[in-house]
Amino acid sequence: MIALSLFILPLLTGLVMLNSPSLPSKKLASAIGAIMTLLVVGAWVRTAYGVTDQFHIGLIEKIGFNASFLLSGPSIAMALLTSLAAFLIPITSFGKDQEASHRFYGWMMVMVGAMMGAFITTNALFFYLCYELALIPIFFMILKWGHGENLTKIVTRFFLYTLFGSLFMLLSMLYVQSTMEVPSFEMADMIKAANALSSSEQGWIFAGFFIAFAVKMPVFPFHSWQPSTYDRSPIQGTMLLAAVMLKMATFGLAYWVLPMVPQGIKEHGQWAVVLSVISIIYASLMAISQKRLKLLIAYSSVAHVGMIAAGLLSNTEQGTVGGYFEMFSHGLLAIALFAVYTIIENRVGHDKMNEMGGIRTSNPTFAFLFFILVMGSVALPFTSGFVGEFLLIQGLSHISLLWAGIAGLSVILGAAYMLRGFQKMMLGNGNTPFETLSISEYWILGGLVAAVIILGIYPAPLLNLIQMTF
Amino acid sequence: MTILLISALLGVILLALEIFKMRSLMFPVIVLSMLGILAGTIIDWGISENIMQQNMMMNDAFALRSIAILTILALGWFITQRNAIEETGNSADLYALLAFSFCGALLMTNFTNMVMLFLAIEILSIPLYVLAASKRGNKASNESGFKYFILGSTASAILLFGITLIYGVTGTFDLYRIHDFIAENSSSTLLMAGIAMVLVGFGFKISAAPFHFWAPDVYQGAPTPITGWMATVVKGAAVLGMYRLFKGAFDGAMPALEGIIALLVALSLIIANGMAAIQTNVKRMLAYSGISHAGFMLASLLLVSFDPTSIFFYVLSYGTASLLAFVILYNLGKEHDEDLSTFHGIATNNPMSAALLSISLLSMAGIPPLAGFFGKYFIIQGIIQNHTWLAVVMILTSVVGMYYYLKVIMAMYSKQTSNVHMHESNRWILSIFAIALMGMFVAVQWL
Repeated sequence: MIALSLFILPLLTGLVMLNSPSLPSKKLASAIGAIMTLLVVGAWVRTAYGVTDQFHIGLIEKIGFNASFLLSGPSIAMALLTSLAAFLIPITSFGKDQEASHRFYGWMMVMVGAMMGAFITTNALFFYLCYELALIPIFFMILKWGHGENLTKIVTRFFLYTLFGSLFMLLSMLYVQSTMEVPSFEMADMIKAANALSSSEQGWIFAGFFIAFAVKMPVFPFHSWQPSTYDRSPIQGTMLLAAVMLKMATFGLAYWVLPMVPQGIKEHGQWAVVLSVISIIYASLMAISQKRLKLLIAYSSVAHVGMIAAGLLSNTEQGTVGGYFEMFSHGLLAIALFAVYTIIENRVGHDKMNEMGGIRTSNPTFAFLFFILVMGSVALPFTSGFVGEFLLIQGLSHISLLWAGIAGLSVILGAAYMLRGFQKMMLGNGNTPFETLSISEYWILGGLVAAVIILGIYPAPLLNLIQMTF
Repeated sequence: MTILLISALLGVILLALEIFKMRSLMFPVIVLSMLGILAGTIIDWGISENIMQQNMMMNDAFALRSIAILTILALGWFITQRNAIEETGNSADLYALLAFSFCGALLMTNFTNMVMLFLAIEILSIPLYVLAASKRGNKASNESGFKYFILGSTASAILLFGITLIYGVTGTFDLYRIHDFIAENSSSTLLMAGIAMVLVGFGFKISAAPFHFWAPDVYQGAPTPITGWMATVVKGAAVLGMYRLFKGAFDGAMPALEGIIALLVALSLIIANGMAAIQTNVKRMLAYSGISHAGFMLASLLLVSFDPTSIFFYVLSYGTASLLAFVILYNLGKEHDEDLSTFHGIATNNPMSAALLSISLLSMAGIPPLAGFFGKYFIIQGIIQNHTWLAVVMILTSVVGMYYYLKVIMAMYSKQTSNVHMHESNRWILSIFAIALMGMFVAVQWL
C-alpha cells in the first residue's frame, strides 16, 4: 500500500490545492513531501525484513494496461529523491512567494505524483503515461509563472520537443508488444519479448527509446530546448526539471531499456554513447562561457546527465549502479545549487557573475557551504558526486578506454567552470552587499551539504539499496 | 424495434407539440426519449440471438453499442445546447430537424440492406442542409448550407451509383448475400468499382481527404451548435455506418482496398494537420482537426479483426471532446468572433471555460491519460504490424496536431489582459464531460 499511497497522495493533494485558494498551499505541499519521505524510508526499512511493497490493479486488461507498482531498490532511491524534492522545493523559495500560490503548488504536487508514478510502476504503458503527464503541470507552471520575453515560444518548443520524442518511445513499446502472444505491458513480459527479438530489431527499439530520453535528459543534439526553458521557468520549476524530471529519462534508460535490449545496445547502440560523450564535452564548454549563474548550473546539469547516460549505456554493473547513485546525488546537488542561486538572487537582485564579488568577506559561512556544493558538483572525493562519477567512468572504461578518458575530462572541465563561477562571485575584490542568511536558509543549505558529504563518505547504504532488485 | 419507433416518432411528436402550443414540453420529451432509447439498448445489451427486422435492419451487438454511444452524445448535445436552440425563437423546427437527423444517425448503425443504408444517409443529411443554413440573416450560414447541400448531394449520388453497380454484379441489396457473393466469387472490376464509389461517397460524408473541401467552409459558416452536432453525432454515425459496411459486408474485398484506404488516411492526416496549423480562426481550425480525426477513424478499417472496440472508443472520445469544445466556442462566439486573438488571456476572467476547453483540446491532441490518447492508441496499436509506415505518419502528424491545439491553450493562459466575459452556462454537465474524458479509458472493457 505504501507504493499506491506514494502515487495517489501527491496527485490528490495537488488536485485539491488547484481548486482551493484558501489552503496554506506552500506549507501543505512541503508537509505532504515530508510525509512521502517518511513513507519511502518506511518502505526502505521494510526491505531489510524482506518485505517488498507491491500493488496491482488491472485498468484495461485487454491490452495489458495495469496500475502495477513495485518498490524495488532503484525505485525506492528515486522515490526518496522525488519525495525529498517535494519537501524541499516549497521551502527553498525562502519567503519570496508566487502569486496564486495554491495553483502553483497544486500543479507542482500533480507533477510530483506523475513522476513518482513513473519511478515506481512496473507497467510500461503506465510509465509512459506518467512520463507524459508530468509535462502538463510544468507546462502551465512555466507559462503562468515564468518570466521574460517570448515565453510562449519557449514553452511551446519545450512541450512539443519532449512530446515528439516520447512518441517514439510509445512506438517502440507498441512494437515490442505486437510481438507477444498475449498483449502485456508488464515489465517481465516486455523484457522477455524484447530479448527474443533479433539484435537489429533491438537496435531500432533502443533508438526509439533513446530519442525520447535524449530529448528529456537532454543529450546533444536534442538539448536546444533546455537552457532557455531552465532560464525562464520559475526557480521551483527549474528545480523540478533538473532534480527530478530529467531523472525519469535516465531512470527509464536504466530500469527499462537496459534489461530489454542489451544486444541491441551492444551491437547497434554505440552511437548513443558517442552522443552522450559529445554532450558532456559540449555542455562543459558551454558552461565555461556562461555569464549567469542559472545558466551555468543548467549547462552543468546537461554535462552530468550526459555522463550518467554514457555510463549507463556501458551496460555494466558499475555503470548501472553508478548511474542510479549519480541520479540521486545530482538531484540533491541540483536542488542545493539552485537554492544557492535563489539566495544570491534574492539578495543581489540578479545573477550575473561578473558583477558580483567578495561575498565571502561579508558572509564566509555561506561561501563555505557553497564551496562544498561546488566540490560535490566537481566530484571531489568524499562528496557524493565522486562515488557516482567514479563508478560511471569505471563502467564506461569497460567498453572503451578512449570514451572513458574523454568523459573523465569532464571532471577537469567541471572544476574549471564551477570554480571560476565560485571565484567570481565569492572571492575577488568586489564588495557586493550581502545580508546574512536566515536560520531556515542555513538549515536547509546545511542539511543538503551534510547529505552530500555523508553520501560521499559512507555511500554503502544507498549502494546496497540500489543493487537490491527483485 | 422500440428504439427505432421512439427515434422515428420523436420528430413527429415535436412538430405536434408546436401545433398544440406546448413548446415547454419539447425539451423534456427529447430527454425522455433519449433515456428511453438508452434503456432500450441496455435491456438488449447482452442479447445472444439477433432478430432481423423485415430483412432491413438488425439490432446486433454492434448496432446496440453504436446506438448507445450516439444517444449519449446526442443527449449531451441537447442538454448543453438547449439555450442555444431556444434562443433562436424557432426551436420547434430546429428540434424536429435534429430529431429526424438523429433518427437517420441511428439507422446508419443497424442496416442490413443497401437501400436502408441510402435512406439512413439521406434522413441524416437532409435535415442538416437546412440546419446549416438556419441562421437565416447570416450570409456565411446560407453559403454553408448551400455548399453542404450541393456537395452532400453529389456524394449521395456517387454513393448511389456505387450501390447500383454492386447490385448489378451481385443481384442483391442484402448485406449478407453481398458478403457471401464476395467470399465465393473472384472479385470483378465492376464490383470493385462499385465498392470504391461507396468508399468515395463515405469519404465525403466523414470529410476525409481528398474529399474534405466542403468541411472547413461548412463548419465555419454553420451556427456553432450545428457544427458541434455535425462533428459529434453526424460524423460518428457516418463512421460507424462505414465500419459496419466495410468490415462486415465488404470484408472479402478489404485486402484489395487496404492500400487506397491507407493512402486516404495518410492524406487526411497530412493535409488536415498541415492546414489546421496555419489557421487563425479557431472554429475553422477545429474543422480541419475534425478532418484529421476522420483520418484516424478511417484507419480503423485497416484493423485486422472486426472487433469494433477501438472505433467505438474513438467516436466516443472525439465526440465528447468536440462537444465540450463547441459549447465553449458557442459561449464565446455569442458576443465575440472565434479568432485566435480573441482567446488571448481569457483564462483570467473565465477560468472554468478555459480549463474545460483546455481539457477538451488536450484530449483531441492525444495527451495521456485523456481519452483521446487511448483512442489514438487503440488505432495505432491495431495497424502497427501491417502498416508500420502509417503508424509513423500518425505519430508525426500528431505532433503537428499538438502544436495547434497548444496554440489555443497558450493564448488563453497568456498574460495579456482581456475583457472577454463569457456566459458560463451548464457548468456541471460540462465538468462531467471533462471528468469523463479523464477516466473514459476504463469504459473500454464494457464496449
